[in-house]
Amino acid sequence: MRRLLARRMKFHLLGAFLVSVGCATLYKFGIAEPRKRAYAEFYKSYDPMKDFEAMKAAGVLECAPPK
Amino acid sequence: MLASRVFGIVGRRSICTSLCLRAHGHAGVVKAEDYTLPAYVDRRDVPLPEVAFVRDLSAQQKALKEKEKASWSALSVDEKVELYRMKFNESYAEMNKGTNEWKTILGGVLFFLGLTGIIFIWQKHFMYGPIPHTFSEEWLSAQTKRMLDMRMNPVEGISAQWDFDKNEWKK
Repeated sequence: MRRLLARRMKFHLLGAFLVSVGCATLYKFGIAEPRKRAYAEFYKSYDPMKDFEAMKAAGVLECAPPK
Repeated sequence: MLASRVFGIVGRRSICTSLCLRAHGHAGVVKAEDYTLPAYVDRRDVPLPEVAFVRDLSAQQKALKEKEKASWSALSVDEKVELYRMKFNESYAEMNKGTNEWKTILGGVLFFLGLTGIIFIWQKHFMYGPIPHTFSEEWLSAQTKRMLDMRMNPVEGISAQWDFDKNEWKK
């Protein structure tokens, strides 16, 4: 009963801080960093002209038919 | 002046509640309803409730209350416990004790989820018509081929899972 609110508040403040910081770190290292790496890897060896020719040959471009 | 006096009387009658109407028969004093009086409550943050737990004491309890007015060292342990129980309903330990209510709640939730599942299955089997033709195997494979041809989502999405050189899904 003594210092009931103080004890509860301390516990919950610490918990809330840890949970929110934990969520942020998990997101950063689970989702944000892999995504940035994936994009870097993709564009390292990306040739847009080759991609364009492949799409043209497949026939999905209305203004650039494969003929 | 006469009109305002009449209006005053009419106004007073129209806002008379049922309690007031009852009071007019009992010399104008209303008996206090239970919900208007201070109440006893078992709460962690209210250590001394407004009233004692036991309201109407028996003769034996009244005698004990008289004895309480004298020196407390004259009271036996049982009498002290009796006085405590007269004043409080549950001790802090009893109040804070957990129940098994969560089992009932979990059981009820799962039961109704299952019931909903049964309803859905019944509906799919007996009520709904056929799904659109765009969900057939041929349509889906043609759709996926078109998505890969136009290099949809090439970084992290579907075109990233296809190996364009070997013409197969990446392992």
